[in-house]
Amino acid sequence: MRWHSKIGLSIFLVVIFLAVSGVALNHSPQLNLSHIKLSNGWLLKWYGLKPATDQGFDFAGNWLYQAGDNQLFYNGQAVANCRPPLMSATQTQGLFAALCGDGLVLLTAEGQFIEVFNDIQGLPTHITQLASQHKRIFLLSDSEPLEFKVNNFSVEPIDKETVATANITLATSLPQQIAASINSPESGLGVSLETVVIDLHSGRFFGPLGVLFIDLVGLLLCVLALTGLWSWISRDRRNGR
Amino acid sequence: MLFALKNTLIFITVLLFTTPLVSSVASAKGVFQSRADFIGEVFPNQPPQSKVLWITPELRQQAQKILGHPLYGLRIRYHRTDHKTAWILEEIGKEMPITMGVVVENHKVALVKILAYRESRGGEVRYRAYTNQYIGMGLDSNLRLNQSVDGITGATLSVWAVNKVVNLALYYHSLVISQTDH
Repeated sequence: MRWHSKIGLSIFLVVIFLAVSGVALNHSPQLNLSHIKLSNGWLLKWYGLKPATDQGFDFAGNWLYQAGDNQLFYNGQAVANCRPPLMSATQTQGLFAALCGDGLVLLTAEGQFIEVFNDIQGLPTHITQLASQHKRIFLLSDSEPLEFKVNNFSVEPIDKETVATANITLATSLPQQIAASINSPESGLGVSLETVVIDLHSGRFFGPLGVLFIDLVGLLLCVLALTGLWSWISRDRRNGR
Repeated sequence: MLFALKNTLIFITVLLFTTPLVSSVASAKGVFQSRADFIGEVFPNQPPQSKVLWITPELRQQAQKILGHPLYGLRIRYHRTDHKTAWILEEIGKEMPITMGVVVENHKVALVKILAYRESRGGEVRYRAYTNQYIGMGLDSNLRLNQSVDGITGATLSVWAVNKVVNLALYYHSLVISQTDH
């Protein structure tokens, strides 16, 4: 009985938190938890979310850059999903191509999203840079260069001589006005409240030790149930029932 | 009585330590099949070149009704032979996109496969026991799925995502078939 009381006192706050957060997660859609964004600096740092860099790709005054919550921006407008890092961008006659962490994003000359070519579609994962020449797009890496065929969504090897004369656009510092806007809450950068509650509920918020701690609390809850049952039976015995 | 309690305690302890192991297997995420392999499986003799379906304002409006959110992009890529089309589409389950391959033949679903699953929970939708439920489905007069599927506890959002994509593939299929029939 003494152990029952000790364990109960030591974990009651955590148990109440687990119960409340569990109820909140069960009703997450109604509470709109996934749409509430938290963007405190320390929280972003804790989650390893780096604010977007102030680098972008300048195409005669039209800027392509990455900002907010995995978004590709074209002249201040979010135009497509783009998981960081935005490694490279190029412009051909008629379209833009941006190499993001999750694929090659194709945009029209006006910056409108056309479609994405990703690893499942056949984009090699080791590509780090784009180059272009007229209507052709080249995919560059440490190994042999490739040409991306826009029409049939395929890649083919290309000789190094052809690529040597292609245009490569390097990232440069964004104009001050754009740089000031990329990490604002309006840009969408943040962690959803639901993610934070899930991570607190499971203990993942505090890393592997946090998970073990929640496991321990779970085990102690089981012990509480058993010691409670044991003391109830013992009391019945003492009372001679 | 003491013996029973002891055994119960041992059982609960074993359960607590093995449950995370089992659930981590069930929620395994990753890329399961590439586009080339999927198309090669669907069209084993001669995989057809990809074609594009351009998104018209009417198509976009209907697709948005099915998805429940705006449709981005200007075109959809697909493969086709006669009355059989294959679509590789993505839809966000909870926070990450799920990549699905859907084959439609004669306006009925012939195959649904999860090609990539990136969420940490709900990966059970990739099992054939679940995806086979879609085989034979078509569209009703409101351009919605004409049958329902048995959901999966804990994977509701992933189930909704698969429903939407299968619905969308059937709708796209009806458009490309009607375009060539006229």
